[in-house]
Amino acid sequence: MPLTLDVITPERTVLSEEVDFVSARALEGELGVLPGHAPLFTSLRSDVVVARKGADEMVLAVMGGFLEVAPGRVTVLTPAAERAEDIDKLRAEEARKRAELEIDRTRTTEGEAALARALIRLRAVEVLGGRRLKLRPQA
Amino acid sequence: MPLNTKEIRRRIRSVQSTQKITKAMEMVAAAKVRRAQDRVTASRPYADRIQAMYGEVSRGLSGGEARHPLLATRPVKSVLLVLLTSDKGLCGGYNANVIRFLVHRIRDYKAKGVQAKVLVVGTKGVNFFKHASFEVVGRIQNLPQVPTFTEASVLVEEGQRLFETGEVDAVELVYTRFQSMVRYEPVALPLLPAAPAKDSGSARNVGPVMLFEPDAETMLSEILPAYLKTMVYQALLDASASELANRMMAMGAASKNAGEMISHLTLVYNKARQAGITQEILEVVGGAEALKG
Repeated sequence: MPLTLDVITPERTVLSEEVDFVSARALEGELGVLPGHAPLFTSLRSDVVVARKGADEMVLAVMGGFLEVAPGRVTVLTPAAERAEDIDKLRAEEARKRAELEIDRTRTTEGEAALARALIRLRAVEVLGGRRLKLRPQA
Repeated sequence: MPLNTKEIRRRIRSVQSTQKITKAMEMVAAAKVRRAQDRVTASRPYADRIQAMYGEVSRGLSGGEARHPLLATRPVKSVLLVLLTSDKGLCGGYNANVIRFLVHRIRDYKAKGVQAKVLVVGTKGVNFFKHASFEVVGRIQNLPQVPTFTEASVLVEEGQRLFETGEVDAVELVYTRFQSMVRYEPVALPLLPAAPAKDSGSARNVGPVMLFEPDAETMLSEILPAYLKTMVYQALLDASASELANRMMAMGAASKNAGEMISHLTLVYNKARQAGITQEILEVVGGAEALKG
């Protein structure tokens, strides 16, 4: 019995796919969901959500939000989410630098929020890259 | 005495160029309103899930201990009205209607002895309140044309702050609800104190009991703000779709009027031209007759 993973933001549905396993970081630590998981509702920390289907991996940067597990279905509700392969690493890097400058200059929470977002996006790219390397056959 | 032909030609040209502008604005608004409607549709899955989860969490709490500060009903002595207007004009009665609605609402509250405070969003609303004697607690202008969740968050946080500090006992959102391309009406949406979740009924009751991590109470305070933000976000989308639909209608009417004006002026112009020619013929004939005579 596979799981359907939906990643929904207020603006659009980012992902809706059948998967075998979902892992995310909840309020109280790492959380893995396999088919048959009990219905659950929890808050997510801003971090990377990884879904696995066979040998395929999907990596998403998720900015907080909620995770709902229902029979046969996992729903991630988040203000913003992006698939790792859609993230432009250079732009994320720039965003990080800009946010760091902003923090130095103004010391506002806005800068910190921007930095946190940039770091998660970079992490998503890294995680995706790391998994890709592992999966690649030896040359 | 008809206007002279040169004058009329100039009027026609001026009306024609105005019509070009209104036509272009109409088409731009039509394209944008379609996209705005798509956004309204795209926001629905999120809103539905959030609402359903709010219901689940409320059910998970065994009632009694669920006294979240945002759910606290107090005797209403003062109310915050958040007004959504547009930054730009040329959109028919859009702003006038929603402002009139708000003013009536403030009067009704005053009659009941409730003090009304206003948080204005949009340049048009801000300009109105420059000359009106109402208590304005905040002004927000120049939001992005396409509303995002961030703006909704800002509005909710501000309302939440005033509500939690006890400065107001209720928060309402006054905006224009988009019903169809030709129907939009001002409405007041109560935000705070947050309405208890509607029990959507039997659909999920058969399933196993839902777990909440860490517990239902924590999840309630997590989901309540998200629920409010979603409602405000949808209101922002509705307001922007209404504004664009209004603009499209207003500019359509303006283009039509310009067309009528042009055909009327053309008629007047032709009459004046004819009259001129007749006059000239008469003069020539008259002159010839006089010479013969």
